Amino acid sequence: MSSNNNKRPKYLNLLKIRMPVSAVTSILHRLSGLILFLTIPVLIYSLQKSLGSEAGYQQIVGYFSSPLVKIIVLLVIWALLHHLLAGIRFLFIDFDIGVDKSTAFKTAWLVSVAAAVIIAFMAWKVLL
Amino acid sequence: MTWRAHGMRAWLLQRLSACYLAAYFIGFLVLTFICTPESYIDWRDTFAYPAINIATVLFFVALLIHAWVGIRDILIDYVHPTMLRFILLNGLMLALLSMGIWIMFILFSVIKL
Repeated sequence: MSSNNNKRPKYLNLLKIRMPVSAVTSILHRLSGLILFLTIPVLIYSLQKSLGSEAGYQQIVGYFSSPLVKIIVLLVIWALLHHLLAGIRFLFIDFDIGVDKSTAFKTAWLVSVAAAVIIAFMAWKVLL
Repeated sequence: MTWRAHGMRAWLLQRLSACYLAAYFIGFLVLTFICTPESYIDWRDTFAYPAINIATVLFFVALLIHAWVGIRDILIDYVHPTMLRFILLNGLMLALLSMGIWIMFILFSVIKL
């Protein structure tokens, strides 16, 4: 537990500590999880409105025609894709697959790039 | 009060819920690809099917459990003042339970047994 009596040296300059790709992928996994958590009430509310009545359904569908909403939804889906793919990578690591440094780096890259490519494709289809 | 789930239990809850979430997500994508709902009636009737309705309830149960483990980890890692962390952890529990009850009311209201 952290306490004021702890005199051990501490170095937390995030700007100077080396951040390999697996570190970045991992912290993005956590950040995307947090973002997704914040969208849960919005998801539930959308479901409530869209299932509740014809008017509610039209209202929710109407929101999706706005470009701003489309961009926000794409960002949320990007968070989802990254979280899902990075999560699957972690599951493999749990079972000792891809634990060695070089494979770990490759899969971290793969996960980040795959999420970005998929969302770029979706953005292209939805926005243009 | 925090509902104790240390070590292995939290790990297992997080992984198992993740597997169900992924399976439901893929299933839902396939379903809406094959049978795209075109109207309010289509959309509502999708969730009227008991199998889909119950699978969706389970999806949200899994989601809230999964979110609990994850957010709890974040709070434990980054919130150092004990009282603040205690308050936030309990606030989290309250929020998750409320959302769980909310979604159950919604899905219960459209099911056709």
